[in-house]
Amino acid sequence: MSPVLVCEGLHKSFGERKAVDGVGFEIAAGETYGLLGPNGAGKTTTISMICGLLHKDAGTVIVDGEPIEVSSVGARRALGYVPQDLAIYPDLTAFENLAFFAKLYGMRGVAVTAAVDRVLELTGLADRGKDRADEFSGGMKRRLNIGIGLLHGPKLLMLDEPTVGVDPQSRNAILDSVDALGTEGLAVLYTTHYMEEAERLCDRVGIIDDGKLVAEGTRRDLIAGIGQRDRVTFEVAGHVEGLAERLLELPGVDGATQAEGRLEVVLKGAAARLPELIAAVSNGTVVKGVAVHEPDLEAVFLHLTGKALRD
Amino acid sequence: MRTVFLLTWKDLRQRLRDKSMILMAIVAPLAITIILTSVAGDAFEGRFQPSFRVHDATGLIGPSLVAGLVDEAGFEDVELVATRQEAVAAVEDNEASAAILIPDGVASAEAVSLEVIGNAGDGLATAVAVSIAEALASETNAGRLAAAGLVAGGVSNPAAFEGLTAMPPVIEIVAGEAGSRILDGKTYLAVGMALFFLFFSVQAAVLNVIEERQEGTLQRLLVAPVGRASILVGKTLAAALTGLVAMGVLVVATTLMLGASWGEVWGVVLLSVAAVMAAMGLGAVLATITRTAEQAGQFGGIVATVLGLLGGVFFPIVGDGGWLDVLSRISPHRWLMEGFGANAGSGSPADVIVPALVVLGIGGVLGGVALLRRARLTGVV
Repeated sequence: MSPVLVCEGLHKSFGERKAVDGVGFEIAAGETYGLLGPNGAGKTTTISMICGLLHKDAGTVIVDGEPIEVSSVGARRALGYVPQDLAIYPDLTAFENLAFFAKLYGMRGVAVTAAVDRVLELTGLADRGKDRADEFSGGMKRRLNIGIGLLHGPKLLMLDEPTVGVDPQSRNAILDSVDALGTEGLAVLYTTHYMEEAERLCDRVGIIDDGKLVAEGTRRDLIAGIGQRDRVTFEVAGHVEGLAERLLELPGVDGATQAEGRLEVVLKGAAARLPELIAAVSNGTVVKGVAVHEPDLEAVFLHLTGKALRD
Repeated sequence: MRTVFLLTWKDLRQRLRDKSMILMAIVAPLAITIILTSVAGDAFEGRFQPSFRVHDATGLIGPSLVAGLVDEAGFEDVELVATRQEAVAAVEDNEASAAILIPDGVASAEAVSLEVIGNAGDGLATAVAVSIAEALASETNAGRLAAAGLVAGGVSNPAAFEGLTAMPPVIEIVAGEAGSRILDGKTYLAVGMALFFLFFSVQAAVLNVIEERQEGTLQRLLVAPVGRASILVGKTLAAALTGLVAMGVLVVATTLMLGASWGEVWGVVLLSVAAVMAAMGLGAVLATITRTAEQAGQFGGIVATVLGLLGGVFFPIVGDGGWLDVLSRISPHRWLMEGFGANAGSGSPADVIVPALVVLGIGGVLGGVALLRRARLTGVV
C-alpha cells in the first residue's frame, strides 16, 4: 500500500538562515510519525510546507497521491491540520466553530450536523456544543482545536505541538485521543519537543535538529543505533562553567550538556562508571542529585546532536 | 461563491457579537453628533468671521443690508460693490466667503431670483449668506404682499384676495454653483462624525485578518481546500458590508433624530461606497505593514484621526489655496465632505461624482499596494 504522505528533499531558507535542510520522510495509513526536536529545529516550517502554508525552496510533498503546493486547493481536502496555537473562534460556539469548518470543507445539510456531533462526542464536548469557545477551559479549547482538524475525515492529520502550555490532565486527555487516531487508519504527523510524547504515541520518530533530519526509525531502532548507552542526569550547584566540556574529555562519554543546574551525560555502562563521573562532576561543584536512565529518545537526541531536547 | 458568502457570514456574525464594534460604528458617532449639535452653534459663533460682498442692481436694498450686517449682525468684512462681476470675482479669488446678488427686478411685480455665490471651501459662510438672503426674500415678499393687500383692500370681491395669496413667491433664492456645496450645521456634524468613525470601524473589520493571523485561524483557512482569492473576497465583503450598514444606520438616524439633510439618495450611496472603499484600502495597507492587532489598531487610529482632522470632519477647511487647503487634499475625508456638501446642496451630479471617483481612486491605489504586499498579510512566503 502506498504511503499517505511522501515528502522528499524539503528545503526552506529565511534570508541567510536555513530553516529546513533536505528533510524527507514517509507516513503510511494508520501510522503515527513523530517529528522530535527542540524549539527552532524546523518542525513547524516542515509541517507548514507539507500543508502548503509556505512555499518550498526545493523538494516535493505528495499527500494521498496528490502533490501539495501553496496554490493547491482540491488536494488539501486530504489534510487535517491542528496548529500549535489555539486556532478557534472564541466568539463562536463550539458547534458554530465546527459547522463553519465543516462547510468550508464542502459539507452540506445533515452531513454538517452529523460530522459536528461526531466530533463533539469524540472530543468530550457533546454537552458544551452551544457554549461559546471563550467560556471553555484551556483543555477544552485544545480538544476543540484538535476536533476541527478531524472534522472532515482527512487522510493525514498534522498536529503541531498540540500539548504546549496544557495542564497535565488535559495533556493526558489529548494524548489518549491522538493515540486512538492511528487505530482508525489515519496517518498522523505529530511534532513535539517532549520525548515522552514521542515515545508514547509514535510508531516511528524522526529526529530533527538545525533543519536536518538526523535520524529516523522506531524507538527500538533509534536506541539500538546508539548502542546500549545510558543517560545520567546530575542536579548541580556552584561552579558549573565548562563542566560539560570537561566531561566530554573523559573516555567513553558520548555526549554531555548542561543548562540551569542540570547536567546530562550519555555513555555506555553508566552504573559501573558512576563513581568516576561523580568525582569528575564534584570537582568544584556541589552534586545535589544523580539519576541513571535507561536508554531513551532523549539519550538518542543527546548522542546525535550533542544537545538536550529542551535546549 | 458559496465559500465567499460562508466567510462573509462568519465575519458578520462575529461583528454583530462584538459590542465594541457596534459602539464604534454606530453608537459613538451618533452620540457625538447629538452632543455637538446641541453646542455647535455657540462653538462656531465664537470664531466665525466670514466676509461678504453685496451687489444690488436696484441700489435700493444693498446699503441698508450692508449696514444691518455690520451694525446688527456684527460681521466686520461686508462690502457693497458696484458690479455683479466684482462680487463674484471676490469669491472666486478667495477674497470673500460669499456674494449676495440682488437683481434689478426685485422692485418689480415679476418673480426674480436672489443669488448667493459661495466659496466652495467655506460651506458655513455660504450657509449663512443663504440664510441672510432667505430673510431678505421673506421680508421683501411680506412687504409686497402687504402692498398688494392694501391695493386689494379697496376691492370688495374676496376672490381677489384668494388670487393674491395664490401668487407664486416674488423673490426666490437660487444658490449659484460655488455656493451649492453647503452643509448645514447638523448635517455637517452628522456627515463628519459618520465619516470619522466609518474609517475606524471599517479599518477594524479589515484588520481582523491580523487577529486571525495571530490566533492561527487564518492558517487554518489557508490549509482548507479554499482558494486564497475566496478568503480575501469573503473577508473584504464582510468589511464593506459592516461599513455600509453602519453608514446607512447613521444616515437614517441623523435624518430622523436630528433633521440632518444628506441630499440625494444616489449621491449618499455613491459617496458611502467610495468612503468604505477608501477605508478598506487604508486598513488593508495597515494590515500589511503592522505585525500585531494591537499595533495595527493604534496605528490605524492615529492615521484615521489625522486624516479626519485634515479632511475637515470636525471643522471646515477653508478653500483658500493655502498650505492646509492643499495638504488636506490627500485626505479622502476632505473629498467626501465636499461630495456630501454638493449632494446636500444643489450641486450638479459632477460635483458629487468627481469627489467620489477621487476617493474610489485613493481606495484603489491603497488596495493595490496591499495586494502587492499580500504575502505579509497571510504569512505565506
